[in-house]
Amino acid sequence: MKKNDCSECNKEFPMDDLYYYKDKSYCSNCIEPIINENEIKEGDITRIYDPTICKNCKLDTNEELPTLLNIPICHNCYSFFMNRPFPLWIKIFSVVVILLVIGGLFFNLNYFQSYLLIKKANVSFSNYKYEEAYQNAKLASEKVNNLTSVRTLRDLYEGMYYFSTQKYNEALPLLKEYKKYNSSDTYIEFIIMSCESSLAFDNKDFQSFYYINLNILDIYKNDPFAMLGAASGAACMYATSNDTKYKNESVGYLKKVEAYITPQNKDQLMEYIQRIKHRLFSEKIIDRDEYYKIFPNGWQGDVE
Amino acid sequence: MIIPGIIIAVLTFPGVIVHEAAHMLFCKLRRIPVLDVKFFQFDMNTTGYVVHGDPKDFTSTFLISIGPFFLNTLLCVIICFPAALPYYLFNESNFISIFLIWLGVSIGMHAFPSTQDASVLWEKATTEAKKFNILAILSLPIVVLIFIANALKFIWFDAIYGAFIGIFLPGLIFKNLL
Repeated sequence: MKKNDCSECNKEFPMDDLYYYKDKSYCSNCIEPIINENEIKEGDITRIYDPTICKNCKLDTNEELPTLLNIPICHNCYSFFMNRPFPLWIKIFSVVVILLVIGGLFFNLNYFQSYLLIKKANVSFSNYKYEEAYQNAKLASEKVNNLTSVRTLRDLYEGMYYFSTQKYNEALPLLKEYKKYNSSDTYIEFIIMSCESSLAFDNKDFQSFYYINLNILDIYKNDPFAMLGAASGAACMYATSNDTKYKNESVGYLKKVEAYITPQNKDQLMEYIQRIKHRLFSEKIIDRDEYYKIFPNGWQGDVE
Repeated sequence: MIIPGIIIAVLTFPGVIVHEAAHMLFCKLRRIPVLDVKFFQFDMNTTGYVVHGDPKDFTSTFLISIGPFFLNTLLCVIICFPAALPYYLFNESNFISIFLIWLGVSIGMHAFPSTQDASVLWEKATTEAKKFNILAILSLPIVVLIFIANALKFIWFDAIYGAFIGIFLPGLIFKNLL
C-alpha cells in the first residue's frame, strides 16, 4: 500500500483515501471546505488510485499493477475481465432462444411445405388431373393440421375427383362443405347442381333430373353444358312419358347449343349431343357406360 | 402517447439482453476486457450496459459499437421470417408464431446502438478518417444514421424498424417471391 500526506493537515493517509485538487492531495476532511468555498467543475477534483491495490478484489500488492481504464487491476482480475464468461442464465436464455427458433422453424416449415403442395395441387387441378390435385391437397391439409382454408380446398379437389369419376354420392357432401366456406364461388354451385342432377339420373328420378337441369339453365342461361343438361332432362321426360312436348323442348335446346360450339368444346359437346339424340330416337334411357358398350364409336344417327 | 422507456424495455426485455450480450460478445471476440456488464436492470436511465476496456484499434471500436445492430437485426430476421409464414401464406396466426414475432420484433427494436455508443464511435471515426482509414470513413454516415435513429425514438422509430424487418419485410419477400 502506498501512502501520501495531505497537503493541508500534513497527516499521512493511504493513497486511495486522498483527493487531488490543483496538483495537491487532500484528505476527505480537508477537501470539504475547498468544495464549499470554490466553484468546482466536474473533473477539478480527482481520485488517484493506489497502483499497488487491485481496485476490483482489493488485493494489496507491493508491485505496481497493470491498469484498465486507468484503474489498477491485479493479474487474476485482469485475466477474469479478459475472459469474463457469459453468466449461466444468459447461456440458458440463448439456448432457449435457439431452441425456440429451431422449433418455430420446423413448426412453421409445415406451412411452407403445405403452401408448395397447394401450388402443385392447383396446377394439377387446372390440368384436370383431379386425383393428383386431391392427393397433394390432402397432404397439404395434413401438414397444417387441417387448417380450414386448406381443408376446404382438399374437400373441393376430392369432391371434384369423385365428380369426375361419377361417384356423385361421395362428391356431393365434400363439394357442399367447400361451398359453405366459399359461398361466392358460383362455379362450384354449378358443379353441385350438376352432381345433384347426376344423382337424380342414377336413381332414375327423371323428374328431379329434369327440374334440376332447368334450375341450372335458369342460373347459367348462356352455358352450352347447362343447355345440354336441360335437353337431356327433357329427353328423359320424353322417354318416360312419350309426351312430344318434351321431345320438342329437348330438340329446341340442342339447336340453341349449336351457336355455342367452338373448336375447344366441340368434341365434348358433340359427344353429349349424340347421346341425347340417341335417347330421343330410341326413347330409351341408358347411362354413359351402357351407351358406349353398344356404340363404342358413339351413335351416328340424327333426330328430326 | 408517451410511454416511459422502462415500460418499453420491460415489454421488450429480450431485445435489451441481446443488445448487451452482443456488445459483450464482440468485446470477447476482439479480446477487449469486460469490466462490468448488466444485461437488464430496472432503471429509468439505463436498462443495460457493458463497461469495457479501450479497444486497441478502430475495427474493434466499430464492431463493439455496431455489433448489436448486426446481431439484433439478424436474430430478428431469423426468428420472424418462419414465424410470419402462416400469416402471409394462409392468413393464419397461432400462439407459437405470435410469441416468436414478439420475440423477434423485441430484439429487432433494440438493434440501434445508443447515442453514447454512437458518440464514442464518432470520436474515434473522425480521428481515424483523417488517417484515411476506410472503415472509419464508411462508418461516418452510419454513425449519423444512428444519431438520427436515436433522435427519432420519440416517434417510435426503433419499434418501426423492428416491425419493418420482423413483420413487413417477410411479407414483401413472400408476396414477391412466392
